[in-house]
Amino acid sequence: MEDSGFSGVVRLSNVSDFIAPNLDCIIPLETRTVEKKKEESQVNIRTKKPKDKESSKTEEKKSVKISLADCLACSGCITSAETVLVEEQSFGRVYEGIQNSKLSVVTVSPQAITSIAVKIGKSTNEVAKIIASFFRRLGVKYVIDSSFARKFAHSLIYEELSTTPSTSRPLLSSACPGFVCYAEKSHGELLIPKISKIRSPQAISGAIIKGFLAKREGLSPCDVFHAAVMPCFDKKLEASREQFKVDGTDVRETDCVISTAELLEEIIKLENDEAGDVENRSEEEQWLSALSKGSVIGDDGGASGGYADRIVRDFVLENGGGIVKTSKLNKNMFSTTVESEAGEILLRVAKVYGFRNVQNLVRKMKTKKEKTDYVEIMACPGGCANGGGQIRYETMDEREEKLIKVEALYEDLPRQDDEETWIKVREEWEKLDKNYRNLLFTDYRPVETNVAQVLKW
Amino acid sequence: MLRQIGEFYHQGEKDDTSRVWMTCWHHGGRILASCGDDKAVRVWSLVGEPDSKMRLECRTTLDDSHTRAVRSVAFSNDGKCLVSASFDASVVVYQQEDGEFAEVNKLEGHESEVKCAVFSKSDEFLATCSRDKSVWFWQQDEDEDFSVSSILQPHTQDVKQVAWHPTEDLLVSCSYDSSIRFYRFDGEDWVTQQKIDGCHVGTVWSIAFDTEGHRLVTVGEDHCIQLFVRENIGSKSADQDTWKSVARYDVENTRWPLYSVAWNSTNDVIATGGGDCKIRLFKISSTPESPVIEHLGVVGRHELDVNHVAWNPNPKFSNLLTSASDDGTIRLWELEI
Repeated sequence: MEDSGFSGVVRLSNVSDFIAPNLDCIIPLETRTVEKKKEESQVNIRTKKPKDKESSKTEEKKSVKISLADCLACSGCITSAETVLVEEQSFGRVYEGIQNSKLSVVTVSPQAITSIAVKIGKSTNEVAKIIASFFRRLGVKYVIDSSFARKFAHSLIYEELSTTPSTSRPLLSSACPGFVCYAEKSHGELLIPKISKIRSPQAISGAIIKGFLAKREGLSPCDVFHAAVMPCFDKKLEASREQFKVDGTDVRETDCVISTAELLEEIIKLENDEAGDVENRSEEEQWLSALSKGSVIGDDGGASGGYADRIVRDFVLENGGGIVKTSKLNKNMFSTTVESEAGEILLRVAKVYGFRNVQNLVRKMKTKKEKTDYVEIMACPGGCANGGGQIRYETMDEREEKLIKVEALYEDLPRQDDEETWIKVREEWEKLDKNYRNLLFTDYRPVETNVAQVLKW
Repeated sequence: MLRQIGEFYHQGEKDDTSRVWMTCWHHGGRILASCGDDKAVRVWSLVGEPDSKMRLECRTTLDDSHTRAVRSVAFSNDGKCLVSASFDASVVVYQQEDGEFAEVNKLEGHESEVKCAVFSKSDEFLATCSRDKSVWFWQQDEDEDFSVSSILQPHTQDVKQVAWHPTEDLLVSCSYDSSIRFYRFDGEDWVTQQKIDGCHVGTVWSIAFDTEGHRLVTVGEDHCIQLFVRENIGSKSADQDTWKSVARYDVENTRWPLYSVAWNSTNDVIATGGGDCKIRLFKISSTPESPVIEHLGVVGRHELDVNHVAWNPNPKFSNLLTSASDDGTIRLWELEI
């Protein structure tokens, strides 16, 4: 798992501790590596080069190795070491969590369902049943759709944009953990104030399960195990954030994240590719049993959450109309404007996918050239349908072909006209916890990584 | 064979020296840029005529663009721009205005120290490489602003240098991971065209093309200089071609790396600088069947490591070489044949 799967953003953001120590590492390094000597410029103690081999021999030093413990002791680097992270977020952890809990729940993303559907050549309905059946056989009680949680996010997003002053725009979507990680590490001052504070569907799902569902079933959060199946590895990072622990405890709201590819590998391993007989639990609520019945929630706006389109929809409704124009700037950039009858631009939204386009957006924001009101940002080219945890294919052409199919399947997921289900859950949640809305939001903190500058080396 | 005609302290004073990382000539041959640990870029004039005393005079100091050592400088091919790459993770573009260079753009995005930044032949693209293992392609638009064209992560360790082919949009990078990589533009993105692993034992420090772009030399930590040639010169363009190693010369009387290589575009003499403080010259023998790298000898010396060597690109000054060193000096040499 050497850096594979994590988005380019996270790889560039130095999440892995196991690269050559940064020049700013405060742990003194003494090695015979000429390269290290060559690059060393902060500690510039100049000594004459030894003239003869005798004296140079005595001056040779043993190499010093940096262990994770050293890095953990230093607050300068990111200590979310990849190895620790991956070991904590594996299928072994899922099995263990199910065994050790009184209630276990799995949240599955529609991107994972569509990716597996394309791979094994079955419909999304069949795949939803297969996945739900697989987990239920392991002892999982509920298998739910992350799109259900996203409804909570969608309901808040236009309100958030409306309360964002134009000088603080563009408002940037927060569902992509790769982008959040990058923003916190790289351009905290510029980007963090502009990131939407609405939680991602995974995080909202965690709050619903460990907050609402646990309370309703009379359980303590530590008795509940919640795993998520997501299209990207960066969601593992998101699950580890301090902000996503049950308030006042050390219990994570999402205990474990499994990627699409990891799930399929496990299903194949257990030869569990048929839905088989699932006990009929007709008494279950719709949102808890939908996937078991092969019902996957569809929505407008594409496979990356549809946040931008949702804003346009709500704006047009509230504004009493408007002319919507959409253009494609390049393969991973889309722009939509809403204009009045008189041709005045009332709203600008964009979808920006892929690290290259994120870079260019950031540059425009720095130079105040960016006039967009809202940007749906995803770190991966192709957005979530092409996340690092999705099923991979050998050739570039095959990947493109399959990506188009995944996106098409996602687009074809049936729309639900019935909003009552999630509204009912929201109202019930509010009765159990009048402060439930706080659990739909989060915050972000810049990561200080440059210890040396503080120390004035 | 090299006669030293001048020694110039980067910071101007002999008693206050710091490492000089690189020098780069303007295509006209009369202007030189340099950079080093003092966080500054300096622009020098070459004063005098070839048949009399020549010297470098510092005419501009650009010392407020970077907060850490400046690792590389390069002029654009039209001569109007200068670009610097720094350990502060930024790349700065300067433009000539009223004869002086001034900062016009700061390009950020790399996560850690930027090692090299160079303009493509047409100046449309700028390539940068970094300790964060990535190679970035920036594209210049009509407003002379830069946008990111592609971001590639082709190496497993930090990338030491990038170099453009002299006539085509082909880039090559070299790395601490012992490999070199070639990149071409596929109409939409920059993509990796070829990978050559195990190019040297240890870091590949530097790359240089010959003037036609049919041959390429690399130097590395193993104190070897290696020659690569295109395999299909007549039938493929350079950006579609593949490269193979055809000759290798091991400098046996040293254990220090070779840090820099420069291929003279007029007389084909190859210069190297390295950790043993020495400047060496090489030539490729003319037998076409099996090229041989000929060592012409140790021809120059610094007090400390030679970090970079650069030939003057103007044929009128083709015998001039500059070297940059840890001893805080830029030395100006004349090749005598």
